[in-house]
Amino acid sequence: MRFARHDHADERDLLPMTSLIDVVFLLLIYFMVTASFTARENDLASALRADEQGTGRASDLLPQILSVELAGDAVVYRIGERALSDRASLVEMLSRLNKDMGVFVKASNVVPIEATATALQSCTDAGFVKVTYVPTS
Amino acid sequence: MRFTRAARRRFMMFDMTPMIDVVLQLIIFFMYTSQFAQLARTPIEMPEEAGDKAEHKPITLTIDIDATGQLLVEGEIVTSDELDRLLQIELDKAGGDPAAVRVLIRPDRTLPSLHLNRLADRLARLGLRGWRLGTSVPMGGGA
Repeated sequence: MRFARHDHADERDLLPMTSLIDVVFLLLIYFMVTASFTARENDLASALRADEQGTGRASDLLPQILSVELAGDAVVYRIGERALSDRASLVEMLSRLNKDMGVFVKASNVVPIEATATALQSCTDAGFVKVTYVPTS
Repeated sequence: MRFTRAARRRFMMFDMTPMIDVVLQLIIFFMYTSQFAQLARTPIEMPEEAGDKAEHKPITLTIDIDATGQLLVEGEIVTSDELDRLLQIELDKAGGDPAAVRVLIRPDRTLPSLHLNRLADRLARLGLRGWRLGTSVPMGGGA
């Protein structure tokens, strides 16, 4: 019996795909499982670039201070005489300030760290590059 | 020596199975080691914020503040004096340049800022002002 030449050639040229499919399947399962468990982390800067370089030059400009305080049970973000209670209005207020001067963030000892992080994040979101955290003694 | 066409075709075939096996082993190795690096971090409920979008330099020391206010370095509870000693070691390694020591603080979000202020004050006394506050990126949000 004589087979046609092209039939034999096609069978030999085929790559075994089973292993590849197995690997891809395992990888897919791995990433699907781990993706839900691993939380992404990031961080927020707490200091002026100038301070990081250790220059420590005193500025004669009026400092812009953002204080995080507790009024009753609510967290209040204070800039000068303005007291703000939500993130949106805080970012909006901060975005109106002069960015070149930077901003100082000061958190009361009783305020949750989450609120302090919100203050630092709002400064970043408002476009401040120079953010300095001032620890309350 | 002259090969027939069939023999030549047989030589052209590659057996992909061993290569796929090796690649799989390598992938599993790297995935597991990276996963262990993640697990080495103390699980802490950090503030949910997107974080800073700026380029980050490598962190030299990570300090965790757990829900009870205890300080941890590499999963081990440390006292304030031990922390000072560790920070001093990092400073010495950096040639006494505080700007070269990059500290990451990973605090529990429910703690009062008193713990953060105390630690920031301690770092400031050593000249370390360039610390960073760890955040947990919320689902769907990204830096």
